[in-house]
Amino acid sequence: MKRIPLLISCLLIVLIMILTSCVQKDSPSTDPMPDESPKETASPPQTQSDVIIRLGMQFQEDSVMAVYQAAKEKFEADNPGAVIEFVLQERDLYDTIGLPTLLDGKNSPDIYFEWAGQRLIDRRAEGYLAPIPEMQGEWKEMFFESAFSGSTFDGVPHMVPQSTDISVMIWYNVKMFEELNISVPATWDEMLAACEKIKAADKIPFAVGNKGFWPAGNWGGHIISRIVGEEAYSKALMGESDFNTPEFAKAMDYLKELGIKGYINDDMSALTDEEAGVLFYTGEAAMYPLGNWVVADMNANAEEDFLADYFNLPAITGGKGDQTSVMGVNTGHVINAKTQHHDLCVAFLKVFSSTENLISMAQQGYLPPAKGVVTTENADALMVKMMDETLAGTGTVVAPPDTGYNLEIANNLYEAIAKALTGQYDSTEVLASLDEANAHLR
Amino acid sequence: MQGMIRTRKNQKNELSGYLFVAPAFIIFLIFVLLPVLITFAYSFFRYDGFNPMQYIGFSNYSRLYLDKIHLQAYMNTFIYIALTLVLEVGVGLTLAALVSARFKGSIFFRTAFFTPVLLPGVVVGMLWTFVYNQRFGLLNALLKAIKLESLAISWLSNEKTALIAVSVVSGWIFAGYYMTIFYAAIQRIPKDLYDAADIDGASPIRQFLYIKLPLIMDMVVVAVLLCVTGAFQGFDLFYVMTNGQPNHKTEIVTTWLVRIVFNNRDVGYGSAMSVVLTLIVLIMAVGINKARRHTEY
Repeated sequence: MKRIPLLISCLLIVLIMILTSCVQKDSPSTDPMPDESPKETASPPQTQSDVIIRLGMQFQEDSVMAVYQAAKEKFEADNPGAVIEFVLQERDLYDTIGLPTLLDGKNSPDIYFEWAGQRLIDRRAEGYLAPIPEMQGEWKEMFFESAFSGSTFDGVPHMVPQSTDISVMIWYNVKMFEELNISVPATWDEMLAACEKIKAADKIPFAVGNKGFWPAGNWGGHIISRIVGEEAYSKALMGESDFNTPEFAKAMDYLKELGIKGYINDDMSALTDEEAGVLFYTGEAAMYPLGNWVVADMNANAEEDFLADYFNLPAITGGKGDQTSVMGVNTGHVINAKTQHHDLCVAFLKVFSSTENLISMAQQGYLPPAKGVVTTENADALMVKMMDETLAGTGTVVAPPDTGYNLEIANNLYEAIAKALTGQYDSTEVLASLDEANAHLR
Repeated sequence: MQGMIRTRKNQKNELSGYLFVAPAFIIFLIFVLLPVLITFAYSFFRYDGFNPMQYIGFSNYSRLYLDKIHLQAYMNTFIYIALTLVLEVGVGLTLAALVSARFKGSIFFRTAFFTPVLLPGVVVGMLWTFVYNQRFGLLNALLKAIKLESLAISWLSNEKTALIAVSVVSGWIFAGYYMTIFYAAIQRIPKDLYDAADIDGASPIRQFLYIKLPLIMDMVVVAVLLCVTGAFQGFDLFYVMTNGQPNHKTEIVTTWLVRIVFNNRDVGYGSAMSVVLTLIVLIMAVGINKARRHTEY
């Protein structure tokens, strides 16, 4: 029996050895990234003297990766001894817990993809966002001023713009609109009248796939911002004011009306956004409220003779917001404040944001907010329309709840919007529940 | 002297016993006990998984009782348990009774009923999402074929049917699993009992109720225990088929927990949820085990 303490001590020593081996500083196993994130390293064999610049981002289509690869090759040719290594993650993972995990790892990325707004504010507070004072003069002036919205702090840019995502636009079936003699609605009431015609023709006015909450969440968020005004929308999403106000209740009633009148597919909560897209592409639904990325999806999945166009959310009479506003967010690449190679990161981002490279991105369905890039010569006509009419025609870009604001409040709002769109709940009660769910954040 | 030798021998045996247990114990310690303790510790902090933790005492626990969705998730879980007890254990028992009656092709049916257990939950979830699809789903096509169009609805987005629809899929998977357990137990029953019952003129149903069922009751209780604890671990079907929708009517504790931790990045609150969930599962498991003792002969 006397040996039991000795035995326990031995076991503890073994345990400590195992645990310490897990956190050995030189052990490659401590780095979560090689295991968690598949990498693309199409670079020549590395030598001891190579400086590795790691770029964290979401998985991209092969055609987009080819643009990154071209930039990598040019950078490596210009900077012998420096190697770009892509650290790729599945999209939903990267958006949520993936990127913070990468940043928290021992070999955190030197450069990473991000969305402007609250996410960048969080990264800055966490110490993962470096200012880019080099971004001035010719380099900065090649972009539109609005490209730096949500990424400039203390007057210094913190992100090199890559694209402006328009999160909500209403795609419509051109042929169906013509057959039903519907013109593009300019006001909310005209849109409801169009819905009535579409419904009478036994078609679904709006195809929405809200299994993931964000598709209707973004759309509903835009409608809300138009009605309550951008300031009230922003304050509520920052947790600085309540949602349960007459203005928000009015906005919820607008959403509720869509549900009551049956203008949305009634299996909305059971479909993903892609599945709702099928309803649109096959002509079962007339409209599809989603972002600019539908272009790429449509090219891949719709029949060749399928013709679609889009319009921005129509003006809502009496709404307090800018009735030409666009829901969108700037995206781009930022430099990790913890990197040892800031200058090389800047050098790579200069290569990546060259006009030539941004034109290649525009050809892949992106909207680089740079001058002379999205033109009829370089990009799809729909992309040019987005840039020249939609973005140029608005004074206000409203951030989507889940990229511009507190994530938990955004998720709670999305649930409230989903509830309102069923048409079965009292708007005030929905908003009271929303405030209750947010109460612990105050 | 002899006593001393015996004592040393006993000590040596004890030591070797501990050494044999040591590897499993260390693995248990690292991969089970330590994470449980760490989760318990996290539950007293505001923590997003990355930034410094902030001690907030029992705030996460008090929040649990104010979180209506959390409470609804428990209610949904208990409804799910009740449904699966019928659809998994009840149907499994019925199937076992049927396939244990010797008839031509019973092996085929045993195999067929067990097959769904071999399929990954995510695959089954996807498959049944198509079956339930409002427009081209098999179920609605069947209803339309027999002139019951009015019943052809969107099963997974209807608040009244979504939870039942997912539970039916769970039953489809696991009824075969419980059938196998019960079938094995029925095979252990001595054949002379059936012979005696045949001589007494007992019908197959009476034989099942008065011979088979009492003699496999211990397995039934084990099945209930597995079904209840398994229901608390359910996740994949709900995540794939409904993601808690519509309006949290299919939100169960695990799906809500995942959303809290991974979408809202609220590790502290999620830890408190995990601790309470673990305690509830433990209490239920102990309760069912106690009930089992009463069924032992």
